[in-house]
Amino acid sequence: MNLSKEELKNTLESYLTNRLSGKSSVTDMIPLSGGACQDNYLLDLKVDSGNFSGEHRLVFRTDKGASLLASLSRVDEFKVCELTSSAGVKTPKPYWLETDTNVIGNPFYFMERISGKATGRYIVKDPSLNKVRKAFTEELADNLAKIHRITPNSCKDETLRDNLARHKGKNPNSIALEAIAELREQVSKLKEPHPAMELILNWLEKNAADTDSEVLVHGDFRTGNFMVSAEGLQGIVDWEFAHWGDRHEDIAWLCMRDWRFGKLNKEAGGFADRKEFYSLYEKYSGIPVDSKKVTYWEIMGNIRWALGSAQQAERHLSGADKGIELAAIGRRTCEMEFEAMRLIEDAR
Amino acid sequence: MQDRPDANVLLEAIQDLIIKEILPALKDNDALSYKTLVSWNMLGVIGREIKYGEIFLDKEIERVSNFLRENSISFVTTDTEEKNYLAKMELCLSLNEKLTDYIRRKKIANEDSELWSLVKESLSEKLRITNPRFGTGE
Repeated sequence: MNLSKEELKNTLESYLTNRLSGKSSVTDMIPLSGGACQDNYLLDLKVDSGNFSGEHRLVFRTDKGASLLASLSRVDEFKVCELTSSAGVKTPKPYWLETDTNVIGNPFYFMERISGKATGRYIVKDPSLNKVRKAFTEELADNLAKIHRITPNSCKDETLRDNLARHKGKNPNSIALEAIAELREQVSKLKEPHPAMELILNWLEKNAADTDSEVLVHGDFRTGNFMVSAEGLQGIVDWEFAHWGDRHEDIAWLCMRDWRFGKLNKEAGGFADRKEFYSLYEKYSGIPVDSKKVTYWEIMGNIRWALGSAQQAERHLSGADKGIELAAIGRRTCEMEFEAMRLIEDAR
Repeated sequence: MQDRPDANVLLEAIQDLIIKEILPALKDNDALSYKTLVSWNMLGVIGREIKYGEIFLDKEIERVSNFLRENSISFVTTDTEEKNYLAKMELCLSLNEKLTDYIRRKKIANEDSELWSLVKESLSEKLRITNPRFGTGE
């Protein structure tokens, strides 16, 4: 089903009128460029009666039908938003999931539209944030600790619990080895050889880190996915890579070189010192950060992002989704490969 | 031979246009500004690839084929002198396939090895074209 914007608007109006038991009008609908795998709209909704009577500023999310790496379905993403939102994590509230593909062709849901901006340059460099960067760092550490308090045992939805186990059980006792197996599978599908990736994967396998406890990992916890304003953190977004994993994955991903947006000395996301973030995380979680494990997962993160870059370029090369950003990112693969090798050399 | 200006001078002229005239006109459109900046950056990559691409490619072919030879891994030998740029790229790709296969089979992960340095050297050369400010420690 390929609906025009007008058809989508009309379909959503009659769908919501029925679902919310009140005449619903879409008063504005603006497409967002969004991620590589989703189709998002800013959507203003007016409901005349019923429990949701009033005006709502929302984001509408659905799939494009394409997925990147191991991204969650829209249904599971909705459930993760519910799970984290009810655990007190600052994230937009999700509403009205629809799994019936007969409505618009793909599952969809809505979520609260929060204020702020997420762009890297704004967060690390904009002078209007100078006064809130410290408080924002603390809020982030607090929120990350809250995310990591969610465990497979505390997840009551069995289907979601299974789907968040991203790795498929070849090495059930090692999250690291499972992650490597998944990366190897994806690397083998690349159209060109990457000797550096093979060396790095071999190193990761030989030095596999153990995991103390399996927790919910955001999976893309980085500058770019934090909505921030001059009032501080507004919300953490983009849960499509959430999975059960090692808490150090998220800390390492935040500290990766590529997410510092030119502020290389601020190793935590380009806005804070690495050690400062570690100690704030320890303060809120009550769990010590193992810096060796962060390095291990940072090496893993770099190869994961190197692979992601090569895959995004392939989307352009194959004609699946053309664009200068996708094309250009392929040339950055070597940056993450080089960084992973440098981290390995420094870990000696 | 083409008349002047050569490809690099033309690229620089386009880069100038983007930075001085196009980007300021797009200051209210974040998404398009970003794509334009990425395009400006890629013109720099193209310019450096024209200047150094073939030099680095020759070096990589020599390095990888020497390693394969020393480790008795067979590959199709060709005289690179007679090859054009695209044919050299294809050759280099096939040599790297052999190398990648070797690393995978032997499960090599030793950061002190000759192979490690060889692979890292190729990454350094890529970076000198794609992002010379990356800081490779050279």
